[in-house]
Amino acid sequence: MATLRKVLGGAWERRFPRGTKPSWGADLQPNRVQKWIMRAVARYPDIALADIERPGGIEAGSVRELPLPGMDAELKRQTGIEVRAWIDTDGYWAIVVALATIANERALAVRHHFTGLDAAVRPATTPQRISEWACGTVAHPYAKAPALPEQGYLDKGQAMFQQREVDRAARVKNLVTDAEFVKRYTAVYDAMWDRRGGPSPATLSPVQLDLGTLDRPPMTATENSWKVGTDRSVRSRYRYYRRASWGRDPESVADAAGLDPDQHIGVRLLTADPDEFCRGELDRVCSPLGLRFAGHHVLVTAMVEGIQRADLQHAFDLRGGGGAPLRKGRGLTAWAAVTRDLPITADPALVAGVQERAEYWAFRGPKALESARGAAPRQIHWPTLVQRFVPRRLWHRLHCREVEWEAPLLRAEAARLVPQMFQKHLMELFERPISAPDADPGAEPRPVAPDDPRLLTTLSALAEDQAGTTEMIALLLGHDERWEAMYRRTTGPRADACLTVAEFRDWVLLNYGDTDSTLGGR
Amino acid sequence: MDIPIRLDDDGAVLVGSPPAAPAGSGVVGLRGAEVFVDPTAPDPPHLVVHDIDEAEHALELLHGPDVAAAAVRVADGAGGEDRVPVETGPVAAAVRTMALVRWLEAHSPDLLPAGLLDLEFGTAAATVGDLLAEPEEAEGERRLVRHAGLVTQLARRLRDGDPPPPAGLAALIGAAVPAMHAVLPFDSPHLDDLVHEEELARALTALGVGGARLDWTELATLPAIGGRSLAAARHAGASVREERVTSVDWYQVPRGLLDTAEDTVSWSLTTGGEPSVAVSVRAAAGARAADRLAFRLYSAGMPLPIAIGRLRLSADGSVFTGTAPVLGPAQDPLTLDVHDALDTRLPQLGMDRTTAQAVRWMARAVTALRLGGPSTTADGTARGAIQEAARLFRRIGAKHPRAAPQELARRRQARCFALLRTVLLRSGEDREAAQLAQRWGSPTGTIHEIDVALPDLAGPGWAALAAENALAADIAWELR
Repeated sequence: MATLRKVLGGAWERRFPRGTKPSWGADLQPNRVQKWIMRAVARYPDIALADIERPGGIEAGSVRELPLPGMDAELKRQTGIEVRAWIDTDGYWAIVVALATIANERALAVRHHFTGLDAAVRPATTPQRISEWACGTVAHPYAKAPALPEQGYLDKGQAMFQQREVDRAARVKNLVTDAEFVKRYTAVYDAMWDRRGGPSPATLSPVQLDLGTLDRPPMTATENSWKVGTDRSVRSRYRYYRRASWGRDPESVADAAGLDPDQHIGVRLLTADPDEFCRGELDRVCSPLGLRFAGHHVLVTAMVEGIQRADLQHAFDLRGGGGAPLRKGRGLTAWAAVTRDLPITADPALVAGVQERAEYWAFRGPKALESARGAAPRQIHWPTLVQRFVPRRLWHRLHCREVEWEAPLLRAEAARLVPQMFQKHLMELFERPISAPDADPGAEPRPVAPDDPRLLTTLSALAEDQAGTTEMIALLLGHDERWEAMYRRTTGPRADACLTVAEFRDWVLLNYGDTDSTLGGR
Repeated sequence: MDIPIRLDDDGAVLVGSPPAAPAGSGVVGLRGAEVFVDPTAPDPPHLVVHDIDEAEHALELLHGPDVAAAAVRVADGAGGEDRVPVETGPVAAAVRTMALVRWLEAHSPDLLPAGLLDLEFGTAAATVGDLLAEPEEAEGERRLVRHAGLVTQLARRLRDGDPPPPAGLAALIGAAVPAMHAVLPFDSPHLDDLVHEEELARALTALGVGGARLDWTELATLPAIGGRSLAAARHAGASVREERVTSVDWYQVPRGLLDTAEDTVSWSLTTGGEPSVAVSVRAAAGARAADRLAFRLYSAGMPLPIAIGRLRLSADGSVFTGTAPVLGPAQDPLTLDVHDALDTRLPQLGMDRTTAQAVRWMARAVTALRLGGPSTTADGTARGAIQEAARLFRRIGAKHPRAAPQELARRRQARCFALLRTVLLRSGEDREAAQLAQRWGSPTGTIHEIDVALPDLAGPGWAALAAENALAADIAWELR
């Protein structure tokens, strides 16, 4: 499918291969030049540089204009032909270079402005943001009516941008530090949880959904990655507000999702009281599953249910050619096409779409992993990890989304997001590097220690019945809950001195021995 | 060179043949595709394309426009297999570097400098840019930004030029400075130093010939290849002889604590009274005390360990030792597994254990050859390691109870011999190489063309990264 992003990107690459930059764009990001400047210039195919160098440029509506879609939308055939013909001309590039040179000068001026500030008051802005601003500002008037931007317009825009970045930084700096947050808001959190946080897990428990191990998130914790799901501490959730930058292209997100740009946290930080953010996050923590929007509750619950229903092992085995190959399916796409907003009550179609996607991934994904690891893809019991970690990853993304945008996902966004949850992050689990000697993975909860007396008591009890233990482990690995009764029966008289059911399950999944995959359930 | 392009049963487009990867492989996620780099056959890498619309541009810049066009045709249902000449695109080297960093992090026997690996990855990711899957791009930025201080420090020291830096370091820092400059937030405490380095680089560019950026290699003296010691020499330790001997799988333990040779674990069972197991594992030179190492003993027919305990460093720092009671009947074959108690991975038992051992031997061979570069100084060490790997893969190919691992082991054995033939040929041992070629020189049955193709050890994919060269850097660099 031809898109403007591909066409413009290809034209750029032909002139400036990856890793090189023209001197006139040294302080700009190529994809920002493409998105703003090249796109704006591509819109008017009958213009020469001399036309726009005249004072006042060209009057709007007096020249032919191509109907250009968004960067990632399909480019109509005829438009594509005209765009390609135009962007390969020297005339096109002369205008691009002229505009980009101005943008580059402005980006450099902003950089110098910020680096000239005392180090203590520099804003936490990034070169990418400056590039985005410079390219957008220079291209904006051209897109309306082809002309070089006026000096006064640029000066004013630059001053506003610099002030906005400083204000934004000041606003973030006004937010209390993480340590202060814990100090000031722990009591507030306790009170708020007692008042309204308590009942939430009863109706929608993160523990039951295996999104975490705690119904009430701790105020602080040592491990706060996406892997711990809803056990992520309140302090860590709050920390997200203090980031230097959020999504890399909020304008595109807003454009694609039909969001009001004012809903973005970058804008909200300019006006809201810092205390509102702190209390707002506590309010979210006390909401069911730590998410504010009902649509997100439904989405994450459907993710859990859909993956639980999926027969991942069977789908994985199919790749050996033992049955009909699975297809990607259109369940999620069809679900997204029904209406715009997420459902706010349980939605079987969504669950089915997730299940279909999970099985397709199991059919396809682990094959890639097998290629990566060769013949030993059994470093971990992967179906269990997929069932546990994919919903946790989704939960993490939904939390970030709620912080960044005061709006729930649309169905179309959710349909795109769900497949992404199966991608690269699971490679982290399969292909993790060997740890450094001083690196503490900081697992939360901490794994059972090898010399924990309860572990030794448990293993002693189980060693007395080798056949029964083998059967129990096969059931556990096969997700057959009957293993729990067997475990309780075996440890019965010594239950207090043994690992709990949950501890034992987690321990087994990292320690069971299966010579050449002979146990059932795998 | 032509590569095959075909549609898989599940609708993915496979570009190139899936590699046998006897030493493991490194993976990089692009938009719409995954790239697999087998370090024994690094160029061209294999791709699995899930979404040709998203991946088309990346494919063009990786393998050239003909391959991209053919992949689109195949994805659109042209059917069958297409064979298209592959080009080396402008992002091929950067993608390969990212994958090799991943491979080194998961398979190298050596404790490589994490900062340099991050800079290699981040700098390469900056070149590949928005062709990467979003998490990869973000990871590249993260890896760069967290080493801003290291970059400015190394840039300064490179200008001093004494002692000579490890090979490739100057080029790496030369590329890392502008890449870092493009992403470092303005409130970073290292910003001023970085801006200074960047301005210096720009000034040099302005003074340079033909507008090309001068990199730091022009300011520093490159070290001589022959001056390096081979890390491989540290890998091939002698066996420890006791009642029972086994090996540590370095994938299972933190780096830098244990010797990475084979057969460094000796253990014995004490029967009578309270049965127990005593374990002793050779420590790495200079290892410090750590309370995260543990061992597990598995008995035939029992899915859970029958003994489990911690390992602690001896007073003289030479071994980690531990004892534990045996909790159930001990029946051969018994397998003792040394692992990280804080970052536990499943034990490798039976043929899986043999496979892990074979992959380790090939990782030793590949890292030795990478460090040896064009010289033949590492060839002797590498030959021994390859032969050991091939022997183990042959055993797996004959004895594994399942067909798929058998088939893969045979492919891997063939790949081992292709690498061995190359080593023999460059040592002038043509007769031995020819004998090997008679049996293993052509694709047959399940052995693919890619498995028997002779690797080009002088090719860019075999050049050691700066992080690898740092293993032998002058101690004054303090990079290890």
